[in-house]
Amino acid sequence: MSMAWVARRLALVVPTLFAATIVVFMMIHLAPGDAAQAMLGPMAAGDTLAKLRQDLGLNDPWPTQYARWLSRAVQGDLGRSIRQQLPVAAMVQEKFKNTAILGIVSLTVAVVVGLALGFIAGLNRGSLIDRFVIVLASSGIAIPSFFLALLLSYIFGTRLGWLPSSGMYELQGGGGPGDLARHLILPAIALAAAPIAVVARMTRSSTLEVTSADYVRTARAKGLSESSVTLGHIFKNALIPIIHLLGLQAGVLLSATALVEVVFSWPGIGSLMVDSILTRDLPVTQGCVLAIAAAYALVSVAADMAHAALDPRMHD
Amino acid sequence: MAADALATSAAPALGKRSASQSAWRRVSRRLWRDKVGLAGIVLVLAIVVMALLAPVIAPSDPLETNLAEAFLPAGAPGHLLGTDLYGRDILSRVVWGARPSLAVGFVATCFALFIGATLGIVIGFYGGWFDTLAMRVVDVMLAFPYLLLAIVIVGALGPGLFNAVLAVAITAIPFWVRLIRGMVLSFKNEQFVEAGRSIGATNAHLMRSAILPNVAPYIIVAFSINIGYLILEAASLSFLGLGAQPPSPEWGAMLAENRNYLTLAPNTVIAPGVAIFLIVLGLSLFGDALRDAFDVRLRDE
Repeated sequence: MSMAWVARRLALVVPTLFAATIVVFMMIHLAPGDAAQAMLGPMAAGDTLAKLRQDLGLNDPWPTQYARWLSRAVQGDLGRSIRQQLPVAAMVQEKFKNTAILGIVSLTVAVVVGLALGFIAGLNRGSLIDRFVIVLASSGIAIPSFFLALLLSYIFGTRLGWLPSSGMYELQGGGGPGDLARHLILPAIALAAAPIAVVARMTRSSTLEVTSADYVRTARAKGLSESSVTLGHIFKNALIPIIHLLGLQAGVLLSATALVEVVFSWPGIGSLMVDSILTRDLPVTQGCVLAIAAAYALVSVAADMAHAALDPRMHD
Repeated sequence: MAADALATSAAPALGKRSASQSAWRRVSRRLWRDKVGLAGIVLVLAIVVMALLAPVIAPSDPLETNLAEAFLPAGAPGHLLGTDLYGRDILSRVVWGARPSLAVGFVATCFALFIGATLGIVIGFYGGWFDTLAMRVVDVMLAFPYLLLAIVIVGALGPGLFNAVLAVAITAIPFWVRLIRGMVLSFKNEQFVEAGRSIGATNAHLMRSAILPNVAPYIIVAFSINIGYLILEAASLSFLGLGAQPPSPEWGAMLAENRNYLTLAPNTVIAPGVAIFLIVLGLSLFGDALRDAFDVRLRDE
C-alpha cells in the first residue's frame, strides 16, 4: 500500500462529505411550500412565519444560505432544535455516542459469528452444518430487523423476563457496565442478524473459492500441517473480500439502527432522527443525517485501508 | 451470447424466435431442477395470488371495526389470526395488506429500473461529460446508506405512502445506473455491435436490437433481487411512521400500529411480521435461483 494511494483515498472523503452537506442543506428546500411553514404547521400566524423566515435566513439567495450554513457547520454549530431549543450539535453528539456503542457491539458480533459460521460451512461443504448455515443466512437477510427486535423483546423481555427490553440503563440503581451490557444484548442481536447473514454467506463462498486455489494446494504439498493451512492460508485469504464488505455493512447498520432503537427505546441517533422527522424539527434531522453520513464515509475509508493492507495484490 | 445477439439482430423473424426459445427452455429447465428456488417461486406466487384474490380470500372487511371483539387471540371463532385493538380481523388485514406491501416494491422497482436503465444505456453509449457528471451524482448517492437516503427524502418531502415509494425508488436508481452502464460499456465494443454499425444501423436501433437482448438476463435477475429489498425498505419506512399510514393494512404500518400491544396481543405483531419475512425470503430464494439459471454475476450485491 503506497502512501500516494492512502492520500488519494483519504482525499476522496472530502468531496463525499461536501456532497453530503449539499444534500443535507437541500432537505430544507425540498420541503413542500417553505421550510418555515413546514416547521410551524399550517396554523402559524403570518408574523411568526415572517420572523422565522428572517431567523433562518430564508430570504437570502440559496448559495448565500448554503455558505452561511456550511461555515457554521464546520465550526460545530448545527443550529438549534425547533422543538427543544437546544443546540443540535450537542444533541447529536450525545445520542451518537449511544448509537456508536450499539453499532460497534453489533458489528463485532456480526463479524465474529458471521465469519465463524461461514468459515465452518465453507470447510464442510454439503454437510448438515453447511445447510443449516445456508438456511440461517437466507432467513437472516429476509427477516426485518424491527420484527426480529419485537420478537426478541417479547420472548426474552416479556415472557421469559431474562433481559431488559427497553433503554440503556435501569432507571433505579443501574448504571454500571454490567447494566449496560444486559441492555445491549437484545438490540445488538436484532441489529446484527442481517450482517451476520451477509458475512456468513460471503465467507462461505469466499472460503470455497480459496480452498481450491493453487497456493493452498502448494501449501499442502509443502507438507504444512492441516491446521496451519486452514488458518494461515485459507482463513487469511478468505478474509480479504469480507473486509471490503464490512465497510458497506457498517453503513447498513448505521441506518438500520433507527429501526431497532425505536423498538428498544435506545436513546441513539436513529430514534432521534425519526422523531425529528415526525415532529418536523428539520435542524435536528439535518444534524443526524450529517453525522451518520460522515461516520459512514470514515468507516468506508477505514475498511478500504484495512482491505489494502491485507490484500497482497494491493501492495506496490 | 455475442453470437446469439448477432443472430437476433440480423436473422429473419423465424431464426430469432427459435434462438431465444431454446435459451428460455434452458433457463426454465435449470429453474425446475433447483428445488430451493422452486420453493421461493411457490412462496412468491402464493402471496401474489393472495393479493390479487384478496376480496375472495379475506373473511371480512380489513377496515371494519368492532370494539366488542378487540384483541381476540389467534384461533378465535371467525377470526383465525385473532383481532386487533379495534376488533379488526387480522387475517383479513394481512391478506389485504399484501396489495399495498407488494405494490410499493413493484412500483418502486419499475420506476428505478426505468430511470436507471434509460440513464445507464444513454450514458454508457454516448459517454463524454454527461457520463462523468452522472457517475459523480451516482457516487454521491451511494455515499449514503440506502435506508438513510430514503429517510432523508421522506424527511424532506414529508411522511406518506406516495413519498415513501418515491424515496425507495430513488435510492435504487444508482444501483441500476451502475449495473446497466457497466454492461453497456462491456458490450459496446463487441463485434456484433461493430457489425451492426458497419451495415449502417442507427444508435437507437443498435440499443434496441443488439444491446437490450444481451442485458435482459441481468435485468431480470437484478429485478427479482431488487424488488425484495425495496419491499423491505418500504416496510421499514412504514414501520417508522414515514410510509403508509394507519388504518392502511400495509404490513409495516400494521406492525407499527400494534407494537405497543405486543405484550397483550402478540398475534397482532407476528402475523404481519411473518408476512414480510415470507415475501422477502421467497423473492430472495427466487432471485438466487434465477441468477444460477441464467448464470450471471452481479457486481453490486
